[in-house]
Amino acid sequence: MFSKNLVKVVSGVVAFVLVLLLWVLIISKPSDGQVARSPLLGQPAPSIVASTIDNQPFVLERRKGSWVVLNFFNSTCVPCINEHPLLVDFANREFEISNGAELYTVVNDDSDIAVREFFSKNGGSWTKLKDDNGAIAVAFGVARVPETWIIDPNGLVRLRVTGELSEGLLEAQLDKLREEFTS
Amino acid sequence: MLASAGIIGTIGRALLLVGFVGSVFGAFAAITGVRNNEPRVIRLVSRFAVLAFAAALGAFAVMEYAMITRDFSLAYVQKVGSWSTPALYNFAAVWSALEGSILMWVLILSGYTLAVCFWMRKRMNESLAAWAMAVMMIVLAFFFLVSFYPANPFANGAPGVLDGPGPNPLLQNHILVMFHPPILYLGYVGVTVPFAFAIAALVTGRVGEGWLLATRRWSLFAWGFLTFGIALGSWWSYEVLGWSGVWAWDPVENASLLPWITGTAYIHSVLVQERRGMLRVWNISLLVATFSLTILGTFLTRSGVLNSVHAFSESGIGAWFLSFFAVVLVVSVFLIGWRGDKLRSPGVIDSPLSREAAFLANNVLFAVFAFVVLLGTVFPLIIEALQNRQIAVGAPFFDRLTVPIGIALLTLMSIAPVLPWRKASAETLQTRLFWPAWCGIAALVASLASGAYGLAPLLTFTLGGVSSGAALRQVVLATRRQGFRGLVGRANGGMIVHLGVILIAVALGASNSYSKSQELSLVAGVPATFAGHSFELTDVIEVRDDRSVSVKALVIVDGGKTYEPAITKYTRIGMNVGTPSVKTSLTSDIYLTLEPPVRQDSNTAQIKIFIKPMISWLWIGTGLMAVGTFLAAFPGRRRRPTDATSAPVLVADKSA
Repeated sequence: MFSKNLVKVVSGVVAFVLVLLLWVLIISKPSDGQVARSPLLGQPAPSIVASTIDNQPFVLERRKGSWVVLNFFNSTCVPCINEHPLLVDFANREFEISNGAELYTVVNDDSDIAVREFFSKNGGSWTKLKDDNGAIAVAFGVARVPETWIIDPNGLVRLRVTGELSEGLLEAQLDKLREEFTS
Repeated sequence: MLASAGIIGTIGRALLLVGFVGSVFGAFAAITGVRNNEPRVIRLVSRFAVLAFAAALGAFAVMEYAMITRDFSLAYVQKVGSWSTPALYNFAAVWSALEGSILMWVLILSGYTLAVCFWMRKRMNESLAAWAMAVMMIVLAFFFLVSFYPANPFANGAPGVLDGPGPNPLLQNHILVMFHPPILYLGYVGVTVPFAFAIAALVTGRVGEGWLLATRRWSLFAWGFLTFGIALGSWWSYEVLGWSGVWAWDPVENASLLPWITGTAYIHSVLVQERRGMLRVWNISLLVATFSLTILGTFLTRSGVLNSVHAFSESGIGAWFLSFFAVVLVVSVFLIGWRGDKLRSPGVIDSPLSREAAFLANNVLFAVFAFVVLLGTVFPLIIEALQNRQIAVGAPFFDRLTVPIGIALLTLMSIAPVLPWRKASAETLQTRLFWPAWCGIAALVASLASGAYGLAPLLTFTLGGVSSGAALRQVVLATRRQGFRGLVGRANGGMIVHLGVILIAVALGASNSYSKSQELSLVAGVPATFAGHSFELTDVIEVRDDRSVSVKALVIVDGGKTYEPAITKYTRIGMNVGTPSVKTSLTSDIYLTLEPPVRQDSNTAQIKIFIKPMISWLWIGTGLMAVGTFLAAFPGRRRRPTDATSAPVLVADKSA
């Protein structure tokens, strides 16, 4: 039905495409545990114009020049509660060093009162941002809390961690990023 | 309780090991038995199949036991178990994450292996059956190994854990979770059977039509379950996810669609081979593609290389599946090349206006369809490999490319069923297309009269009319000739499946083109209207249980029943899940979702309303497809062996 040459050409093309596919799959990088993938990585962070739970204005773009860490949070969520002491340690560490990262909590669907209560009980004096209509969570593609993001001094998204932080993860990742992206 | 000693884990691991060894020995017995022609050794195969199945069933039962007794000595139970999960969802929690779903895969595959073994028990001495068993056993051994080593559900967990988070919230708020994964897996895993016979045919050189006829019903069975499983998944998406859509082109959805596409192409093109002995290489390639796509899909979605809403868990099994995928491809391609000259077809296509040419066109379209979906799914990986940046390929890409393919397939469905084999004359076509054409015109007039507009939907409705005319023509003629037997058999059952597909196409065309949505800020006691319907908020209430806090808005639609869209906060996981509430009718659905932020007692609620015309026909069409598949599995009118067939019979086999 078909000429021999055509068969050869078709099988050659098919083999080539398959090899190419395999090559792409082999070099593809799987998510490294909690460090998750996102189309935002390496891209400018979505703009955030919000207010803090103390009704102060907050604009993410003004934070350029510092490393920014966003932690999406809800006071009833068990993993958020579990990771809280690690965040407190992290904030203390960054406070000690010069040009340390700024940590912000993005409150995910929670009442201001509950959030204030939580922080006065468990510590953590950093700024908490309101995200009442979920716009910030949607912009970052956060489906469930907790999630933690790192944004570099140029405003580019550098890291996404999904789920409960493990001990030392944030510190290690931030140090690595600092080395890589600070000249 | 056995929990403290960790005995459960040990028993489970032991069973998996027994299953692995049993399937390796089974494969070994099948191969050595058939090569040395020793019936005694071959008889061992069925014993090993029983052993492997018993081990898999035992392991699954042990896992269920551990989940039901909340044995938190296992890491897996720590991950997806919780005292607060209701019994039913707790039972389903076993397959709610990677390790458990691989265990279910093992169970289903070992069930298939045993069933094939039982079915072939009298013919096990034939080389084809023995090699097919060997292939199934090797695949089974691979899955036992994956379950034993990189994705072990019986691994011991950290000590001292007394409670866990429970399964992902999306997997514990709708009953469909019980059925969607097992049914999908029955389809997914079922393609292993025809694949095993295809490989066996290549190995033994018996590449005639015998193996095809033998596995016809197995292919149909797997395809039917795959179809039904995918449809249940869309239904779940519609009922649970609250975005009013049925298909998101998510990598996991694509991973189930890809084998469905190649499988659908196969159950069509196989008819050409049975009837005319053509397309042999193509059919074997389609089976290889279907099977390897199930492996590739599992790799893509479970290794964490792609983001997905279905990524309920990830782990280091990527390398295992990728290697297995590569082995399947290399072995199959080698075998096809090796048997190349035996696979040459004895017949040719005589005319482009013939049934076989239509099937060929169908296959080209399905191949393009599969390529588009595969390309869209792996495109982010290609870009990352070339440019080291991450992108997402969204619905617009898939929609733009698949809508024309869908319309082309509908066109083919209009013409192909009336085409005779070999060659059609213009007069035949004219007479046979007479009624279908009128159905098309009627459909066009009816849709214009009900206010439809736009090229793609109008084309869909018109072609839907023509193709249902063509399908009905076949069924009507057959029942007139044969009575109720005209409803069963492949050709007639197939036409009923076509009618289901047409309903789905029309439902998708209407709901995608004419959906309306708006967000309303409702205040209690003040009715609002949208698209001719009235909505009145009566109350916002809060319901609490162990797992969650949920806020429900009570909304009266059109002065009738109260609907309750809700947002549920699963506190153990930190995830909000919206639950839509849907008023269904044959003409259109009214789909209500509650939008954040919600405050109880505020007496206000943001309600998003979607009006989705004709979407319920999607589910009716699915039901019709299931009925049609069932009817197609019954034997139709048998061809007497003395009847002439249109192809030279099994020439290739005789020369072997």
